Amino acid sequence: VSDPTRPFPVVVDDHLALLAVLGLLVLPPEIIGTPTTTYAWQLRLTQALVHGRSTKGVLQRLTSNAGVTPQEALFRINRPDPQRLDVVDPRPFVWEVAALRVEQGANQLAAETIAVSRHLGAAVRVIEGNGQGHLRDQVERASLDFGVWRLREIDGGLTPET
Amino acid sequence: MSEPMSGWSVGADGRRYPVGGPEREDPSAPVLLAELAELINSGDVAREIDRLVDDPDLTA
Repeated sequence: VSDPTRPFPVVVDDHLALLAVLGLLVLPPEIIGTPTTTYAWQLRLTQALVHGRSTKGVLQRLTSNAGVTPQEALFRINRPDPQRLDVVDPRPFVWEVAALRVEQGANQLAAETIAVSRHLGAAVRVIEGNGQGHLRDQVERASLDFGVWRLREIDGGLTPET
Repeated sequence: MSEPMSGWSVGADGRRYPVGGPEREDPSAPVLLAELAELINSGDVAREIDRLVDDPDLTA
């Protein structure tokens, strides 16, 4: 669990990763460094955007409100500016991910999130829609700092409500 | 670049990119931050992603 008196790095979900690559995520002062996400979160969002090309769902509203097309969002999340988002290579974590899947029953998304967060000494932050269920249960079982960010507008971007 | 994507294109660097990249989209498109926050906070996007991806290994 992160020491609340010291800045800490953060591993983020797909929504926060997208905001980061679009330059719309304003990190609170307790976070240090570039936000990080995992290959599984990147894959999840990419898969949804590829599917979403033929739909008129809320993903289109999301990207439209962010001022980009779904194609641009797809490009940005697959070629992230390293100054805005770090996507961690999952290969060095394969042993730990495998162990979490076998011993803790974690799915790929949760296992990678836990492994990368442990490696970085990072907290896990997600939006409300990803804040309940398997991921939360697994991350808390691993005794990591898990938190939900509800977002508000600030200085040309979005930041967590305090 | 606003038409639906049909696959991949080759950028000036010779690499494959999703159609729409690496060229930038219309930079004048407005960013609607209040609406964006409301949409994300509602959880509707997360539910849409779950529905589209439909993979237990990628379920939050």
